[in-house]
Amino acid sequence: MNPHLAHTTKPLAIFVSLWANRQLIFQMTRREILVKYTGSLIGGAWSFIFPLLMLTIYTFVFSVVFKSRWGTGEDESRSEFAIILFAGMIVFSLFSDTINRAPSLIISNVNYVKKVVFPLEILPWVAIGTSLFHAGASLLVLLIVQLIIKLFIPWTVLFFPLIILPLIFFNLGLTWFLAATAVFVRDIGQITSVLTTVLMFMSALFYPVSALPSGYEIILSLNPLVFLISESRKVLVFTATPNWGYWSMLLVFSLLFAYFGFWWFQKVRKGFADVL
Amino acid sequence: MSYDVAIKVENLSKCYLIYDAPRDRLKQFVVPRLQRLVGLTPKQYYREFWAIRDISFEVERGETVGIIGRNGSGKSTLLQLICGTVSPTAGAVSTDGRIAALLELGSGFNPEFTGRDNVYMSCSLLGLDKNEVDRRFDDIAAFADIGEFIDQPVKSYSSGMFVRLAFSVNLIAAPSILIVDEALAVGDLSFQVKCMTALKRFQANGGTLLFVSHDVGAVKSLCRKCVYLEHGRLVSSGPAPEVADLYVRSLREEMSRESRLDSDSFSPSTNNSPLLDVPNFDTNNVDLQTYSTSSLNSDDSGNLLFKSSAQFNQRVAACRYGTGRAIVRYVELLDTFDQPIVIAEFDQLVKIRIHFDVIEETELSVIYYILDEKRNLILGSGLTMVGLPLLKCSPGSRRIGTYTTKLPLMDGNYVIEVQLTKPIIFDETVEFLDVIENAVVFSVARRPISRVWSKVYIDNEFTLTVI
Repeated sequence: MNPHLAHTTKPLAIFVSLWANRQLIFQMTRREILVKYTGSLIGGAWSFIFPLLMLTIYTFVFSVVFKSRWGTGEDESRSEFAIILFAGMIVFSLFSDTINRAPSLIISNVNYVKKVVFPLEILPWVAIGTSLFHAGASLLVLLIVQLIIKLFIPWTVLFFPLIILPLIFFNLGLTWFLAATAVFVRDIGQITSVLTTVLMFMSALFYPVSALPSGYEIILSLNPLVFLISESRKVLVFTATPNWGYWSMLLVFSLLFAYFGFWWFQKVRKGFADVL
Repeated sequence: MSYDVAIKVENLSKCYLIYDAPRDRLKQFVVPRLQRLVGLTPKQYYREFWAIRDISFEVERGETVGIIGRNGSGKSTLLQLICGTVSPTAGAVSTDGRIAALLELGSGFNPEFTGRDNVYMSCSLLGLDKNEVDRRFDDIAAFADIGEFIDQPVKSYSSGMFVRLAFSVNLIAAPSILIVDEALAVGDLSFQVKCMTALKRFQANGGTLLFVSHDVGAVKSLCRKCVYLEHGRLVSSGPAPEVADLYVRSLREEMSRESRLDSDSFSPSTNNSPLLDVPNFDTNNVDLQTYSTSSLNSDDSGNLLFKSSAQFNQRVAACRYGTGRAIVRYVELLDTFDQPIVIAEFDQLVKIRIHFDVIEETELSVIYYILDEKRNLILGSGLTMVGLPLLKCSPGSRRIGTYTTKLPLMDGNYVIEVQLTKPIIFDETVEFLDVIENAVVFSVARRPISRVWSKVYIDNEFTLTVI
């Protein structure tokens, strides 16, 4: 790595840097996950206890207290709503975790900017890697609970990694963009936390899209998260195959967006050291 | 870039834009564009600060180059530019080979991670893959010598352990260019010796070393070439001894500038200064000036200039106390030709000249002490120690006292403390009229024939009797 060359904005550089720094990314992700639990008695087990606890609470609040029904049919079990909600939650957290962290990625790593020559462009990968790990733990909990309650796991679960692929690229792009911009405009951090809260309610997380009046349905479907969440439910709970057409469109869009974020990041990163 | 150039710096400039308020940054982004759009002259919301201006030099492979200059002369910015953490405003830097920088040691460390993790992470930042680190890990751990702490989070390390580990990583990672910024001053003596040995070995193996220091002696002994910066500009680059001497000369000039800045002339024999209420010298009032000529062997006292300097006042303000019945205006360390000294030779004959005002009528003694870096009292003298009576001074009189002495000192940095005191009980209690703890800072060079290992060395004779 020659620190004196201008930072390349070639699209392929995204993957070149990912490959070149794979060991570093892996190390940092691993440490970041472990650090969260250092000093705690049961350590990594918290990654599983937390989602299990959330699932239990959802079941209690929505199925026992509110007696909510998703409307999947007559034989909908008591815990069905909580499981569906939880499935959506996995996808949404994957999005919101990284986005909420994005603005502080560079700002909180001033040393990596000013003191050492560091491949800053890998920080979003690390953030996403950490979120993916937590999503994986939640997914495992979801599948085990389904196995216990319904005595089977939908085989379409195998599609899930593909479903979230556009989300990963979209997240990457957004994280590059937000992390770089927040260095110059510190208000970004405030904006994202409001935005993710709003999106949580606007992404058809707590209700099926079909529950909406028809006008709103169209507006909501402009939000790609709505599609990704409902497709994830399909493969995780309903044993249905996803809508590949729309999915491919999203994938292309997310790749373009990832490149835009990367391009922006590489363009403005020379200024980081002057501002921080 | 030619084959044997390791670092090439061409017309390098770095300008920082200084904004008074963060919102000015945003204004600068928007307002000038709008103004240009409507045809107005764009307003500028920032001030420019050129940390580095138009610097060019080359470092050949295997060469050791020192960078010297005062605080704020742009040394650190230059290093950051060479490392690539800061990008230049104009010009270019090119480097050939893996750079390890000991700028702020361990700044790439994550305090939550263990020493082992940080070693792996830092090494992969330096471009080593996991297998290479595996091979070198034992060497790194052995060099750092922090025992089983290697598997503890680095936040639990003592500062010495932290720095030792960081240093080890950078050295053992086998860079081809090493940048050292006064990092050697940390660690205990045995670690310092280890570092010096490692640096020498690095040099011997053909490594390129860039060495930044205020210590001219270290630069002279370690470097062949030297680059001298001042106010972000390159003053000189070339063979280390010559450039280092140039730097020392300029330091000396600055010190005499400090004294010249607002000195006013005072000549006791002519009484020609209208500003001063010059006292008449009656026979009871013993004037220090007279001492200088008669007893202390000073030259040509009649033409001495009284010096008082606001800059001096400002510099010593924090380390000064006393009742203020007499006030020191200026203190200087001079050679026998009355030239200010920054670096004294071993056992050099020097003058310590103290310019002071007497505010209230009093008896006083003029005292100086020479202290080392750790504020151990090494040498010193006062009027009674020289065997002279106290000075009886009338108010409003200006005096210049000069001690002439030798500096038989070990090489290192020293401080001259100056006191004006009035004894209350002789040799027991005094009233401090004015005490300046850091009146002059100077260093003593290493004794050429044989280094002095004790704080003070006075002449010895040796006789051998063989029986």
